[in-house]
Amino acid sequence: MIQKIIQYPTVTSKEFDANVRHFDDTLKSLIQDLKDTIEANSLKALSAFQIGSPLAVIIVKQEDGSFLEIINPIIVKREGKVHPLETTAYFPNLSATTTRYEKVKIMYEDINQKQQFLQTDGEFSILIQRKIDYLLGSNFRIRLDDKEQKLFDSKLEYGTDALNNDNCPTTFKRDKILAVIKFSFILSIIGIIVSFFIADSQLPLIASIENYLMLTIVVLLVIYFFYAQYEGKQYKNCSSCQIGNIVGVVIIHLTKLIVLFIANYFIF
Amino acid sequence: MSRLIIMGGGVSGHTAATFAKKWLGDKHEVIVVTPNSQWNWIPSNIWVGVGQMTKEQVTFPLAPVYKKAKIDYKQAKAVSIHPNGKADNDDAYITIEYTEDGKVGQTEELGYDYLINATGPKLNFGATEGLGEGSNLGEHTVSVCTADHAEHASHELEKIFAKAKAGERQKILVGTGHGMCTCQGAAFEYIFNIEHEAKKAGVRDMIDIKWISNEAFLGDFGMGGLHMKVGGYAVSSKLFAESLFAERNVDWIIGAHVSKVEAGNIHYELLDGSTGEESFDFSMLIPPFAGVGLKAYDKAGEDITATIFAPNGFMKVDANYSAGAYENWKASDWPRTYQNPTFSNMFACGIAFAPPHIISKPMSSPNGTPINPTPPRTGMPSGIIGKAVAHSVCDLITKGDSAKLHEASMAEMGAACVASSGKGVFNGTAAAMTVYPVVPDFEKYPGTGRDTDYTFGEIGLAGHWIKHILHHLFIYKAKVKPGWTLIPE
Repeated sequence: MIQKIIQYPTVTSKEFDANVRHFDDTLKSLIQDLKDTIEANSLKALSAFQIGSPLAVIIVKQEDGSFLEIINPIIVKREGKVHPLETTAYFPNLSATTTRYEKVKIMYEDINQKQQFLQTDGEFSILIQRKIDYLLGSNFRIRLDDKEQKLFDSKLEYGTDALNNDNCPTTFKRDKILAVIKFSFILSIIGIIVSFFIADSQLPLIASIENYLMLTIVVLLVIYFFYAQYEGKQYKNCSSCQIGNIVGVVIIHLTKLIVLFIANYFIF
Repeated sequence: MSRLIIMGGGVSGHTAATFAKKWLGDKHEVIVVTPNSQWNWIPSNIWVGVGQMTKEQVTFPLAPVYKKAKIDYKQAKAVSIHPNGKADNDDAYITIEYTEDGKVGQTEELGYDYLINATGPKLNFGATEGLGEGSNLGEHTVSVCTADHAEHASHELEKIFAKAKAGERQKILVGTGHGMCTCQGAAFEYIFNIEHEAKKAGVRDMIDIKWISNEAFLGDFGMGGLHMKVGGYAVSSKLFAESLFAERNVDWIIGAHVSKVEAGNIHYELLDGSTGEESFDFSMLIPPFAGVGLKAYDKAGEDITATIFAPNGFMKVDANYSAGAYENWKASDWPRTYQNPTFSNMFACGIAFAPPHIISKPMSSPNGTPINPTPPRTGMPSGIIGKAVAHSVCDLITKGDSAKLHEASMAEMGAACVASSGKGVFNGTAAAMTVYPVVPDFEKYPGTGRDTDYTFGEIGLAGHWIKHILHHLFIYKAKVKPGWTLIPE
């Protein structure tokens, strides 16, 4: 059955890189779907992830029209580097220059569960590597250097957030609290600098403003600490580092606040 | 009064002993038999191995801690188990051989009511020609498996850095020393800490660093891989590891069974059956693990080792050892109570229990050489299992034989792992990973066998801080200082 090929900006699934364990009718049906979809779209190859399956299956249409079924592939040897201009079905009408191995040797299983090896080079090698990237939950974007990735991202109609499958967003609302804290710190430092150039009679006013700023920072830090944890829980797969990051940020800002407090104590 | 003997004082055994004593109090006896005089927080050996910590910072003497905890401590190695006693006495006992200064070689019989086997592994250097003899490290490579090994590794690494500084190009090879190794994570940490230190020392451009591993793919970690975050996106740990290796300019050989080690050279076989050689100036290769070689005898003195232990020397527990081929593996194959099926007063925890099968997909070369990681049973799971086993034994002692045993299946357990990739307060990095469950449950989570919401990792400075904080927390806990029970395993 012809399946719909997942294309940008559809967010891909977090279920990927699943070994095929059962060489049964379900697998055969998946393989047939891949073949039908390749034919219907005149493609050279397709990985199961591209039609929404987490299983590690790649089907390649060979020059003689027959299909090569590659199950549970892993790259066992690699050689050389090339920088081809690639296109892929996930990003229709877009291309980018990637970095690939010139030659790869893959180990895989055929439909009869027999271990096979395949030495590839040239275009075929690049094709296989691109399809393996899909099995690993990715696409050729991960093979772009920083400059090429920025250029490529600028061409994405819906931006890069559309690629983000419920992971940590690139920005958090809590960052706004940090921005206010940063602004408060800057004001405090300006206040300290100003205190060296103004009359003694005006010092109490500056001192008072400084105290309010420091109090504001403390209150904001407390709010940040609890809100950041609440916000982090909305993205439970963000990472185990969230708590560490939040605690770290609070510790850094508290350290800055202590330095600010000491400076204020001696100046005013 | 009942007597519980715990063979081994590592992470699992120490956890079991301290909790058992806390729960049993003075009414019952807890004895720890371990050949070591020092407790070692093994994860920090990595930092000893690159000279960023001293041996003293990752170890402490066991005797004062056990004295404080009122645990009877025998610095000795367990030699044999006699679960049915001997001809003239039905009481179960073990034989031990002292390693303590002044008593070395002396033997003793210790009777027990309950026995926990937490001996950890034998570092089986002898499994690879040239890697070592038996459990002793050879002369060609270094190791970070013990604090002494790590200290030695640090000194050897210093020499390499000195040569590099003098303008002599050096080659470092780190990884696994056999096709059936586990603990790839430790080697992973070590290679990136070396890379980090080489950069700090200003000699990185004079050192070629290469990884060699029995993993079928980078990022397997003996668990069949996991999801990691790279550049803000969820991808397989294969891509994560590949990016990290490429970014740090570390080359790699994977799917490798190291078959022979010589001075400055190793021989290996790959998954495709081809063979190769790799030269080195400095090499740290993790050895495969095996059981410590405990023997078991019945009342008549007949050897019943094969009844109690699996062929690899680890103790049989309530696992399904006849699961068969990969496609038949189930989460339920994995043990829940760690009770020996033949002798109900005998348990195993940590590395000492025999796993039913590996976790990663089994692989072998066309020559029939198995090349795949064996299951990790260290770190967090080791502590959790040790505590669960101690709980079961305490309940059996206090509530009787009908007490329900506590369970800690690795197929229902999540684990957190923090792998250092460079030490430094501001420029350190570590990969913080959570895996749930440790052993994939393909029935509950079709596809990867894991809950992808909770199987995740990321690399960064925060990970390093967590790792450093954990170092202090776990040593504090192991020293049984006030509030130690509040610190999780």
